Amino acid sequence: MKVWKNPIGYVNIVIEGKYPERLLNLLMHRGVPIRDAERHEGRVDAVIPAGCVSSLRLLRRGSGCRVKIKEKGRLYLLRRRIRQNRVFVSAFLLFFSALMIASTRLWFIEVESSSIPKDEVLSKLGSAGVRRGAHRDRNRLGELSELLKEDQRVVNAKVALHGVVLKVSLSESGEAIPDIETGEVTGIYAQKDCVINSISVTAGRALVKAGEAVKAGELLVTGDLSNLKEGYYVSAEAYITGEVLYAARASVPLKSTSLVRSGQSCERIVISVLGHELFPDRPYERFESERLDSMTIDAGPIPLSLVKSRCFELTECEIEDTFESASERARLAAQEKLSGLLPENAAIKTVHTDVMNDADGKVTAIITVTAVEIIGTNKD
Amino acid sequence: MKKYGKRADDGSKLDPITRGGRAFAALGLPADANCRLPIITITGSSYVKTEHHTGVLQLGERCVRLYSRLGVIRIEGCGLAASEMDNDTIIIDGAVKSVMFE
Repeated sequence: MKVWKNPIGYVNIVIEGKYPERLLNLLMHRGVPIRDAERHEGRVDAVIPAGCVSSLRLLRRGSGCRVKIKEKGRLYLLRRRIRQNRVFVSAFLLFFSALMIASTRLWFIEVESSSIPKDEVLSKLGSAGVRRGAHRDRNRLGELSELLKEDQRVVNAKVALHGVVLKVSLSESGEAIPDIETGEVTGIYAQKDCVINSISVTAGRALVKAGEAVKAGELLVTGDLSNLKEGYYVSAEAYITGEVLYAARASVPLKSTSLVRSGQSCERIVISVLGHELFPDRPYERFESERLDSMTIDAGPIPLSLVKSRCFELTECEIEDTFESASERARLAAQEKLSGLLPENAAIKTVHTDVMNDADGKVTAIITVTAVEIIGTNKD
Repeated sequence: MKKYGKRADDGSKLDPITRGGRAFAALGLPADANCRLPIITITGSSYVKTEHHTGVLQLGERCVRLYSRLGVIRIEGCGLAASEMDNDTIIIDGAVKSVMFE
């Protein structure tokens, strides 16, 4: 309760002297709220907020009382330690900021190569701006792979980013072709018809580039590197995104049906026990009721509830709708269809809605959405 | 006691507090609206809230005395303690037996 009342912290004090009430009056006059003040054997125990300890020290001198601090609230201690140890707090904040900044940079470059010296590979990467301390850019991995493959000795260069470590694995022309495991995939295909938004290849050879339109099932990245070395295949790896077009269409009639009162009505009394209706009946097929009166009868251990209401019969009726409300209904229906089509990982780029009046009197809404999503998939 | 005449029964002048209270009472307003007269709220027999006090004269287990514009307010009981105190309001907890003006 003390912590709740003094969230910043509290201090338990003991006031001893001839007239401790004088110090209490001085504190109250200064605006210090005092809690749980009680007298015990000639001294007064009280609780004041931690931030008012300096006021207490100031007023103590003229009051003729002795003040002792009996207990300090934990938050007060923490706050005080943080205040006193500013160097520690500043150093901690500096370290944390440095760590956050450092995590966005590249700090280790590992090169796996049988004959090409590591320094040569590092200098080549350095010419492309990739060195220790450079900014991590996942989208440049394909470009780095192509750069390393310019060397005649390199058949394939696999470049991958793991956290702050860049791993480069080079396959050279003099090396034996590794056996591909049974079931290993060698190509990446398009999942849907789309326009390629970005393509970054870490293993294999790209057959398309950004801005090209592709159809579903088309080969985007191949693991067949026979053009470089006879019978050389790798398992293709790439990050490919594309812009996919989704469209949903819905038509609604201008007239809509709704339930209205027919004019017929009757009175009805419902008897229920603990919320369950006894002798349920329906005066009309469709009706709505208005409660007129109710009462509860205590019939022994079981309370009976009587509700008197008037039931009004409802019938379906066609009403002429305005174009605006019909177009809103059509738009909502199209939106519902569209939500079933869009995948979860799609990022919507543009949305376009068209509403038109058809020749047969219906209102049609067409919603077209362009979404960016990952479209590369592996299949045998 | 409120006095509704310009002078008290014995002919002495009314003090400003009582005079102000008479004016407010004539208008149908509570007398303490301008005079900062003490407001004592007693809940049950264990909670006494005194507003518009001007200081603590004595704080004890059996007796608490407070200053106010009308004089000294005496609260007697057992195990009395001030659960909250500030410049204007004081709340006394404990087994309260009597509250009186001295």
